[in-house]
Order: sequence, then C-alpha cells, then structure tokens
Amino acid sequence: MPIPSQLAFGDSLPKVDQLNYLAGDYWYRLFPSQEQLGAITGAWRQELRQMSREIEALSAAGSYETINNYHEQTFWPLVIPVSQIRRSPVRYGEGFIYGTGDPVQNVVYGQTIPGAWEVPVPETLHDAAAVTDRIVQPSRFFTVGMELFFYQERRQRWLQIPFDPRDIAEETTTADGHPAIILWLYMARFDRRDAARSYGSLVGLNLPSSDEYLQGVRAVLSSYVRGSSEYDLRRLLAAAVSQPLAERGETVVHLLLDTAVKAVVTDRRTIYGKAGDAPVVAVGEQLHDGDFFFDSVKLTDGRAGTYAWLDMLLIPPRISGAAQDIEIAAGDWPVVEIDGNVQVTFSADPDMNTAFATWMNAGRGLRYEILHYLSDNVDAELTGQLPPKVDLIALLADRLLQRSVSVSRLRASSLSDDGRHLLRLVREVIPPWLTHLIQFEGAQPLGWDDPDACRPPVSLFF
Amino acid sequence: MPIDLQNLDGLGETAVQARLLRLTELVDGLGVGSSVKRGFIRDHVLRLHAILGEAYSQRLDIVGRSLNPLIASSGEVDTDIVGLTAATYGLSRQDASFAAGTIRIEVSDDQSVIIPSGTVLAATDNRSYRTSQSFIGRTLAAEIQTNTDRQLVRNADGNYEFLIEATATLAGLSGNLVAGTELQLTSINIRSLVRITVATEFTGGRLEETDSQLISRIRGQLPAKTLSTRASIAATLSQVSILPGLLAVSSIGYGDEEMVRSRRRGADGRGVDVYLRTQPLAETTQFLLKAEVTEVRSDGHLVWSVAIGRDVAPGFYRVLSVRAAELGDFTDLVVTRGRDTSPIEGELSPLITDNVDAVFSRYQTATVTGVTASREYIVGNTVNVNVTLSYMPGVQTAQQTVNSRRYRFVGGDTLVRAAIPTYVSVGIDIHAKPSAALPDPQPIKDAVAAMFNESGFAGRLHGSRVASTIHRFLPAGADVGSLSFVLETLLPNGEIKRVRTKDHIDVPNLPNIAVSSRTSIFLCDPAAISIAAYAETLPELI
Repeated sequence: MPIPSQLAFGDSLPKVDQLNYLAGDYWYRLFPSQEQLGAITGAWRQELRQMSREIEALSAAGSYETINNYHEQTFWPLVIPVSQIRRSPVRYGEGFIYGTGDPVQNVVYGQTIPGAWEVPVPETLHDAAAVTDRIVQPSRFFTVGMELFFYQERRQRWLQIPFDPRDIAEETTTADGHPAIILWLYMARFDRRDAARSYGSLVGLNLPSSDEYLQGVRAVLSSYVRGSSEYDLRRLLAAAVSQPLAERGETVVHLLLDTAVKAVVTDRRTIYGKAGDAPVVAVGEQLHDGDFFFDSVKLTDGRAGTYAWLDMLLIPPRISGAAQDIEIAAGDWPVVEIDGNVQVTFSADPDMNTAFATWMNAGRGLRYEILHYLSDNVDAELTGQLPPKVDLIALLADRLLQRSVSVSRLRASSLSDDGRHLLRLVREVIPPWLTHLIQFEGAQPLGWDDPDACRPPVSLFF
Repeated sequence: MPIDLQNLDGLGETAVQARLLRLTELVDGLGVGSSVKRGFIRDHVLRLHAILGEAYSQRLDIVGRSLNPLIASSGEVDTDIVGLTAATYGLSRQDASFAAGTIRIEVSDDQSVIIPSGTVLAATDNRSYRTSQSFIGRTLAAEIQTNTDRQLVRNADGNYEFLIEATATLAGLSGNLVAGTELQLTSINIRSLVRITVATEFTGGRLEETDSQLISRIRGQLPAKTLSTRASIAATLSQVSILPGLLAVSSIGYGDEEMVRSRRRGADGRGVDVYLRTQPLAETTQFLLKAEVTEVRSDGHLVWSVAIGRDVAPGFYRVLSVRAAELGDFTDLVVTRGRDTSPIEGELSPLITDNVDAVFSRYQTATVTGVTASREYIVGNTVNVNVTLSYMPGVQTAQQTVNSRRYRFVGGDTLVRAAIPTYVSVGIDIHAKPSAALPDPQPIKDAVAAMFNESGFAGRLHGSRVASTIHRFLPAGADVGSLSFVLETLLPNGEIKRVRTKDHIDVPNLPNIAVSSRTSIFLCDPAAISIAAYAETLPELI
C-alpha cells in the first residue's frame, strides 16, 4: 500500500486511520531491535506525559482554587529564523551610562550592547526556567534571569542572549524553508489565558494571567460559590496591591526593615512589600485568616477602633443622595445651634455645608444622630446640652453608616498592574444591600472616575 | 466514543511543528542508531505521530471543555457532551418552539365558515402560519358543539368575525408577529372574506438552545442558591424550579446610583432591586377586563377607564390595545401607573413609597383611559374589554421567591422588576454588485435580533457588531452599506425616550430614575428590522 507523501490538515478520518496503521507497521520494520523501539516508544511516552499534564490542567480547571495560571511545556522548541537574530540594543532605563561622551565608557541609547544578541519569542511565552541546546544530553544550559533575559518591547517579546546563539544552536529550517536555529526552552510557561478563559470570563474580567489576577478572581468566585465573606473582600483588596493574605496560625518570625525592599518572614514564607510599604505585623505575632501584611491596604467596617487611620471620608452622592461628594476630614468640628436646628460647621465651603445638610434632612435628623452619638460618649442627652465640638467621622461610622458601608484605603503607588480592574469587582464580592468605599492614598489611578470605566459587569453568568 | 478523532480540521501548523521537533529531538537523543532528523522516518513516522498527537490533544481540549462549565465557553465544544454535562446539573437543552397566536377572520355574511386543519396563512414578508385543527365559525351559539367551534360576532364595522389559533410554520423568533398584521390565505378560499388579521401577537417562537446558551445556564448553576451576592441572586432565580429560562439578571444595591427607591428613605436605605429578562422578547397576552365610562364628551365621544390590578400581567410594559367587541378598538390610550403594596400572604413585601418605584414590578397597577365614538352609554356603564398587554413573564414568580422565607435574608427588602425595555428598530442597506446573489433576509433579521436579545445588560452595542453579524450571511460581492437604528426606551416615569443613531446603540443613562446599562435591556423583534438591497456598479480597480 503506497504511503501518501503528506498528510494534509482536514483529511478524513479513514485516511488518518490508514496512516496510523501504516506508521505502526513501519515502526516495527524500521526499528527491529528492542533498544531502538524502546527509545522511540520512550519518546512517545514523554509526549503522552505532556498530554496527560494538559488533561490534568483541564480537570483542575473544574476547581476555581486549583486552575493553573500558565500552560507549561517541559521542553519547547524556539525556532528562530536566522534573519531575525539581531544584536541587542541599549534600552531606556537599563543599567548603562547614557550620554554622548566616550564611546568606550558610555553607551548611547539605541547603540548595540557589545556581545549581546537577542531573538524574538512568541508574545504568549511568559517565561522559562532555562535554555539549552538539546533535550537529551545537553551540552549548554543557561538560566533565565541570570544569564538570559526576557524583554517586552511594545507587543513583541525578546530573549536577550550574551553570545551569538548560532554558535551553540542546531541549524534547521522553518516550515517555509528559511534557515533557522533551534533553542530548547526548559520549563517554558505560556500564557494561554487559561485563568481568563475559565473563571475570568465568569466575572467579566479578561486580563493576561498574573498571580494578582488569579487571586482576585478566586476571591470573587469564592463569594459566588460559598457566599459573601469579609475574607473574600480582603483577598480581592490584597490582590489589588499584590499582597497575599495571612493564613490562620501563621507566625511572624522576622521583619526586614532596613533594606530597600521591605519583607515579612513568617514560619511559612517570605512576603515582600513594595517601595513605601511598611509592615503592619510584629515579630512573634500569630496571625489570623485574612490579615494584611503591609499598610498598602487598610479596611474598616466602621466598628470602633478600626477606623483610627481614617483621616478623611468621601461620601459620594450615590450613597448620600446629595448633589455632590461630601468630604469630611477627621477632627473635632464645631456644633452650632440656631433656632433649635443643629448645624455642624465642617467646611469653609458653604455649598458643602448645604449638601451635607440636605443629606441629613433626607435621612435621619442630624440632631437625633448627634444626641445618640453623644449619649454613648458624654451624658449630653440627659443634660440637654450639646458639646461645642463633634468628631464627624466617628459620628458617621458609628451611627449613620452603621456597618453597611465599609471603607478601604489603598496606597496608589502600591497598586498592581491589574489592581484598578480588580477593584471594580468589589461590588460582586459584597452583598448588594451593603456597599464599599475605596479611597486612595496618593493620586487615584488613571481613569478611576471615568463613568464608563467605573461601571463593572452587571450580569455575570449570562 | 467522545475521544475519537473526527477529522484533522483546525490543527495548528506551529503546534504540530513543535511536537515534531520535540519528538525528533527526543528520538535522536535517545540514540536509535540512525538519524531521524530528516528523511523518511521523520516525514512519515514522526510527523504522523506529531499530527495525531496534536489532534488528540485538541480533541481532549474539546472534551475537557465540554465537561467543564467553567471553561466551556472559551472555545469549541462537543454538543453531545455539553448536553450530558447539563444533565448532571439537572438541566436539559431547550427544544425549538413555534410562535403561536390567534387570528381574526372577518367575513361580510352571517354564514358558517370552515377553516380546515393545515390551512396556511401568509404575511406579506413570506412568514407563514398553519392551523393544526379544523375550525368552524357558526352563526348561532346553540350550534357550537366542540371547542374548535366559534361563534360569528358582529363587530363595529358591521362585519362578522371569529378567532382561530395557529402556529408559525418555522421555529424561531422569526415566527413572532405583531397584532394587527394582515394575513392572506394561500391554500383555501373563503366566500365573503373581508380580511384576516393577527388578533393576538404570535409569540414564543424560539430556535433550539445553542451550546453557548446552554453553557451559560450551566454556569448560572455554579453559585450558591442564596441572596448573598449579585451572582448568587441570579443563580437562585435561574433554578429549574423557579425561572429555568432566565436570560439576564442585574441586581442594584446600596451605593449604586440607580438605587433610587432606597435613597428616598435617606442614607440608611439598604434595599436591593433585581432587574430581569426571562425571554428574548416581551410576551403579549389578551386579558378580559371591565371598562367603565367616566366621561361623555361634548362631541359625543366616551372616555372609558380600565383598572389593571397588580396580578394582571405583573410588571407589564405596554398596553397594546383595548377592544370591546361591540365598540371596536379604543383610541387615545393613556396609561397611568400606580402601586398596590397591600400585604400578600406568606411574603415580606419590599418598601415602596413612590409609584415610580413600583413600575415594571408585581406591585404595579395601572389605569388605562381610552376613547370610543359610541353614543349608547352613559357615565357608570361598563363593558367587557379585551386588553392586550406586553410583559416580561416571571416577575411575580421571582418576587415571590425573594420574598419567601426560604430565600430572603432577615429584614430583606428586595424588589424584582422587569428590565427597563429599550426597543430597537434597525434599518440595513446592503450594497451588492449586480452579479451577486441577494441573500435571504430572514436569517439576517433573526441573527441581528438574536444579537440584541442575547446581549444581557450590555448598555452599549456598536454598529460594527451588527455589521459583522450581517456579513456572515452575505454572498461574495455584497457588503453592508449603512445601518440606522431607532431606539425607544420606556422610562419608569411614563415618558418614552426616542433616539435615532447610526454608529452605536446606547441605553439612556439616567440613573436618577433608575435607568442605565445596569437596568435596561435591548428588545429587537425581527419584524422591526428592514433590509434594503442595492445593486452597485463599481469600477474595477487594477
């Protein structure tokens, strides 16, 4: 039976079966010895193992806590057309001396780096552990991050190599016949957007894979499947600033405070903070589920003692019903009584006073609230005298918002790349009869107030 | 076996090459004694295995996706396996259904008329409807013997009329037809026939549920069935035992701009408003109600008033017609909506303090006034009227669910409303070379309507999406020329907001009256889509 020279894509199944049979037959005819056959079937078994890992990844996707972030290949051939190998240019921000001075000492931006080469890699290639020249018995082995580096340049990723890759790589040809070389990427990880394709689409947020993204959408899914909890809200907020959460019983054993990078060392792991972050845990402290490690994120539900850091509160119209935001700074504000109507002077801006008064009149009476607030603190209700000053944030937290409004404050400079998007999902983590205010320390992210960008997904499963 | 390979379509050249290289490298490195990097072994043995390996890997992907509702929507799936997966969640694929409605036959003589079973009636746009039973229009009530016998009734025009039931000949939305449309008999003749019209809108036409629609329903079953989060509210209501065909849900809560109802009570309002869509299009039903004369105008016209209680088509959208057999259609219809929040046994009703908050909910009531020309009635007289209402079914069932002790949270204040409707009419110009075949317009209309009706709470759709939907049906040489859209949003305050647009389609953003992309849906009837095709002779460019 003649063997077709080529099996075309789209061929019918009988042809595939026929060829499969013939191939099996030829395997035995071509490799009669047990050793040879063993070698080939061993190689085939490796292929099967790769497939079985993919099946595992698929089945793991059934659980929102276990899906893989990246698709991993033990060995992946990087076929590089020779024409695409180029010398590596100096990129802006690299650790060279810039300028136009002595070309021996200084490197000019745009100039090529002596002895450095780079090759394009697929955009979906996230990273790899190492690069080698062969799968079996490699003679060269280079560690990514130490000797080789990935670069992202706009939408193109590059692998920078400190020598000419043609010196070590095996030659081959591309599918269209052009000369090329093969480098083998060991433990190559591809971003096939498995997380986004699986439960990311459930929450209406499709982003490239990242640890923060994974943590954030897991928090949302957890609240779907198990119901809303403060833990899930904490997990989502922490993901926005690239922080993990403490586990129950985790103990802090060391704090690294005197280095450029802050770190918390526990009996289970080391957690790094970003520049400007300060740990909020102490050495020897046994942590609770969902504790934050750094001060880049804070959360309060208004219970006494949990909002001491809240030096400003911005109440938007969607909560107050007022015509504009009501901004209240911490501190004691004078209380004035005019013709039996209590007024709290808290701003020099008369419009702001009016807005606040409108809200108070629309809701519960301010006088009522102040009296009740004071009755817990001062015996003012009994004496019928109002104190000259009142702490408005304490009043709001204890009385008006009554734990149906929680507030978080995030350090804007600590936000992860996905942070702004993840914060849109807070609405999906909390019960709809509660609400949450997100405030930023520092400039709020670009587009945060854009009405279109602010509108999170509404129907998550349909 | 679901793992079996069906064909080698869609294999990626790059992926196959990567497998081939890896296999070649492994075999070569393991030392088989002869080079396998090129030649016969590579081309005919290893390459074949690389192709099969990739094909099996892809097939496993499809099978895995079909078994796993979390990832099922991310690519190709196997229809049979998706059906089996749905079964494990207690769901089954919804069959195609045929639109059903009633047809009015008007004749000039008071003589018996026979409409045989299988009679076909066609609209001008080639949509056709068929009777599944024989009907006889009889002159005397005493002659009526079976449930398909009808009595001829003299109408306001002096003709005689009777109603028959029919269904669309084709399944799907395209069978839906608005009331008043004229039909023609194609298979029989009736002596003294005056006209045939659609009496009650043909509705309920639906294509077989697609894989993606079924997967959406499966995914809807994943969250906890509680009123804990917005997603779990959707899951609760979409349960098989409650609203199995639920298409879209949006929950508005404390702190949302659209939560107007709770803010009326001040900053402490913590209610939840749930907006839902249970069908692609609103359903139309005729209800027998009483109309009372409230005024006799100086010109002799009568002003009638019809009270619509909260249990009549709960949360209805529009009053399409009011008709009394002896008076004909009422004109100048004005709808004034109110509310009835009186206690309901076993339910904890939400707090509603303003009529506008009850609109499109099961607590909505209405008074409809209309005018007729008869002089035979005085103030206080009543007649029976057929009131045709369009509504989103399931509002009452959903409200009962969230009100019930089994689901509500303590002190729960949850109101269910039909999603605020934005009706979309579309004008499509198709430009084609003279030699190009003209496409069949009906599939285009169905696809465009489905795109709008399945968009959930999209808020905004762009013309390019409509154009790409149409393009799938166009033959070579034909292109979408221009698109025009007319949007009509029924606002809760009784106003109608009309917008004409060409490039993008937005629902109004009026959160202060609870209208926004979170609360409003697009409703597009295929009948509201018109297609014009133009032949264009363009110079050939070299």
